[in-house]
Amino acid sequence: MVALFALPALVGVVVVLGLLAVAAPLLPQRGIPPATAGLSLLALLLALALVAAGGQSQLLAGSLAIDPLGAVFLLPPAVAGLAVAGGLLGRAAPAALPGFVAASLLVVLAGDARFAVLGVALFATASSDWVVRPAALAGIFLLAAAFATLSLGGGQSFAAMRAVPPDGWRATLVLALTLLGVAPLVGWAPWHRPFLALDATGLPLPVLSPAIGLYLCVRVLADLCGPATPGWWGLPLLLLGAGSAGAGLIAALRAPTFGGILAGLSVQHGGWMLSGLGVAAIARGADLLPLATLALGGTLLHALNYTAFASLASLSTGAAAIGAGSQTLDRLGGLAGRMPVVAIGMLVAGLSLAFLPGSAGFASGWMLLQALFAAPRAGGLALQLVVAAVVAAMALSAGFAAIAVIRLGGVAFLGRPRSPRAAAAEDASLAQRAGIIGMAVLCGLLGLFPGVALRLCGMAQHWVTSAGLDGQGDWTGIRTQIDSPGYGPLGIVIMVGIVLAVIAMLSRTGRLPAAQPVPIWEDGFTAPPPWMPFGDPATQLTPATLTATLPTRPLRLPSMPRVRLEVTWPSVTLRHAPVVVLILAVLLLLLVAGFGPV
Amino acid sequence: MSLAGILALLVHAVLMAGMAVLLAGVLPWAQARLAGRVGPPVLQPLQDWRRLMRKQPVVSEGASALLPAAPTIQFAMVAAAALLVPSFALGMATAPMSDLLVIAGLLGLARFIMALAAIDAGTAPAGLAAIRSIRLAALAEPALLLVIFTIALLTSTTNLDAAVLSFREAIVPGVPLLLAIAGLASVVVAVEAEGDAALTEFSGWHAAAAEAAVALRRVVWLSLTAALLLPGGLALPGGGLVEWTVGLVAWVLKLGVLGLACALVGPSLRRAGQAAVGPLMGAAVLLGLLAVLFLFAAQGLT
Repeated sequence: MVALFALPALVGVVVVLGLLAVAAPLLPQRGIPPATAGLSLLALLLALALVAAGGQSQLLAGSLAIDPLGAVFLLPPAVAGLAVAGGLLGRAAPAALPGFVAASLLVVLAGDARFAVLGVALFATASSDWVVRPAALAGIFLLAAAFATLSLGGGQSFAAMRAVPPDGWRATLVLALTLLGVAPLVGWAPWHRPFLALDATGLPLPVLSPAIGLYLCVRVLADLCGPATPGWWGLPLLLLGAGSAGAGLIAALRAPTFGGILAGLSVQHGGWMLSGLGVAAIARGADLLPLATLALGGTLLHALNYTAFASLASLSTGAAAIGAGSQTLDRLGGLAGRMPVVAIGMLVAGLSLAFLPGSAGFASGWMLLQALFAAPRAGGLALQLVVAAVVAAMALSAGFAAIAVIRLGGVAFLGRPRSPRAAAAEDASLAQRAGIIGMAVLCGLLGLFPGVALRLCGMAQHWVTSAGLDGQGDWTGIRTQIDSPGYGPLGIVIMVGIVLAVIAMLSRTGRLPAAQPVPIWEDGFTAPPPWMPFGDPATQLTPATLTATLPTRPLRLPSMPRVRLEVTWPSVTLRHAPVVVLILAVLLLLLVAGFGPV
Repeated sequence: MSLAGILALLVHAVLMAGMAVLLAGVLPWAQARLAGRVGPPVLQPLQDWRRLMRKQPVVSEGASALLPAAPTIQFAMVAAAALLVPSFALGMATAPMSDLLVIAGLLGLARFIMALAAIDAGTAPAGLAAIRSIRLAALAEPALLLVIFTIALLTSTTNLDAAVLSFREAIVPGVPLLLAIAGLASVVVAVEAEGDAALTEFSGWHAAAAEAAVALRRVVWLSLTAALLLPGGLALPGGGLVEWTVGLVAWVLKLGVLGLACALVGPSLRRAGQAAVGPLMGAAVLLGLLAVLFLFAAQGLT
């Protein structure tokens, strides 16, 4: 019932946003952000109503359609549009901003091949401010080819494709074309340099691209290709996910600017989502519906959470870059004192970006890891080896994400300023601060009540896996099965709160004296010369030194330095321990494999 | 949440705090004795902390509010992790929350906050300490997650209490578990041998809080290892006073042995320096991976 009214209203929102984008050169530039924010808010309310009520509806003979899967993916564009446009209130916005939000909504609302390709084309071009890049063009053509292959069976509408799903080589072709086509669009291809343009256009591309890319993958591979896709379809998804988690992270560790780091982290988080979808595909192929539901739930939840905390990170870094006149880390530092609200927003977003507990990112990351941990049940040794490698890659990317976040937030916001301009940074505007506070509250709620957010994805989970929800989420937390302990952030936050309250009480009663600020002690070096009013920059950590000592190959097999036990017993050397371990591993595997069928 | 569970939790909290103080004193004493020196009194840390609590802390000019708050936050995170790891009895009130990923995450969060504080201090040595600390954390995380993966494969849960319970009742610790524990032990040793970031940046009661957090973290790591490696003796949920006493004695013995092992290896690892940490973590990751592979191969047989 809701869907019947919501779909025309949403189409209206898209049309008005599109008109705004077309007429942007004629309109006052300051008028674009409020209009975009208002329309995004309307879209958000409609999407929430759709998610809550469920149901499906279509327009123009099925060319535009909405179903529970689409309803969930309407939330990311609406939230990102609201956050980014809201943060730009009172400022000149890039003309392509409404077009970008409209294109993202259109991708989700499309109900047949033509509108889907149109939406993707608009998304790709609007995200680079209406410039068509060769990589994006290739992506559009590949996706168009995928939809063309799908429509060979029955017709161009999604309903017809679903009725006659592709089989044999055609299904394989669809899989290959979709993955190859989505990769360049969302920065998942190694040759694609992620661009972001906090510096030029201010478009929230890294905020939205993982969600939109994931939507295309879910829609085509899990929905349009029918319920009987083979389990091995999950393998390329898993490998692509692990690969992009690693590649995105390396890009984030190397990038010298806010935009580069955020773009790298977007690729990394997109990789986590893809690997979750891979587990769902494998589990569906093996008829393990509870596991498929778990994996899909983690994937959808991470898409929602990521949009929220990436919007917050984008808002905070945007406000910092505008206030300090640069987004290059080498020119920033000590911004927390000048813009405390922005710094707090960055801290909240950073906890999520680095998968730290209590945050929204940890909750959905926890679910994705649980799905990966359970994935070996779905197949033989080959699959299990792939899963082990993927878990190792994911673990590595989670560990190093903290370093990327420390570069993003720590170097820019803490310590001493590295340039006069940063020392005189202006605080964010009222609109930006309001946007940051609003998004930080949203991220906090998503982190505290992940079960409620997971409920929002319930009908979409059911749509794809046709399996009922097993009470995986409620207000106390999320769990893998109905009676297993799971993850309850509320209890942990209460526990930490009690400890903090005791310490605060001690210091309040005067038992613990307050801290006193003193000049920085430079280890006895002479005071900096007068032309260095912010101290000698060489005495402070730089963004480059933060990653310079990182091993380039974390898993290399080095010769172990000689470690001697201190006692005068016969000395034990651990030289070449890793090599010995490896040889033992190979021998063990050979031994076990020789004994029976594997 | 039963009454016995809450009572066990309270006793556990007191025990963890006491053991943290005791180990912080015993380990330097044992190391000194092994090297042929007399060593400090066993309760020296307690004396130090009591003195530090009365002193006014100083912080760098221009540092944000994070620097003075960091030791408190770190202590709170480690304390929360300490309440989740079972010491003498299973089935504490916090058992449903004691997820291994959460425990690893809380310790990681404590380290993350301290690294940020080190950068906030704005000095070169603190910054270098931060680099060392987070590099170690980033390398330890994959090893730790692979160990958790092994435990999840064995027991199909990442809940520490449930996992230990099934080790206690059904599963005989086989080769994969031993390999995983070896990986975990490497992580523990490396983390414990490494000094902490920015510890030199803190003074007064901030320093006391930071040092206490490090001491408590040591007990958390050792209790975690003990619970997984030697679950024998741990009182089962619903156990009576006798089981609790047995569990308590067993826990003290286990931590004594593991602590002594740390005291033996720690100084040599510290002398081997930074260069040793990377390879050690590499070995830990390999051990974790090996445990997983072995498990898969063994499952293929049945």
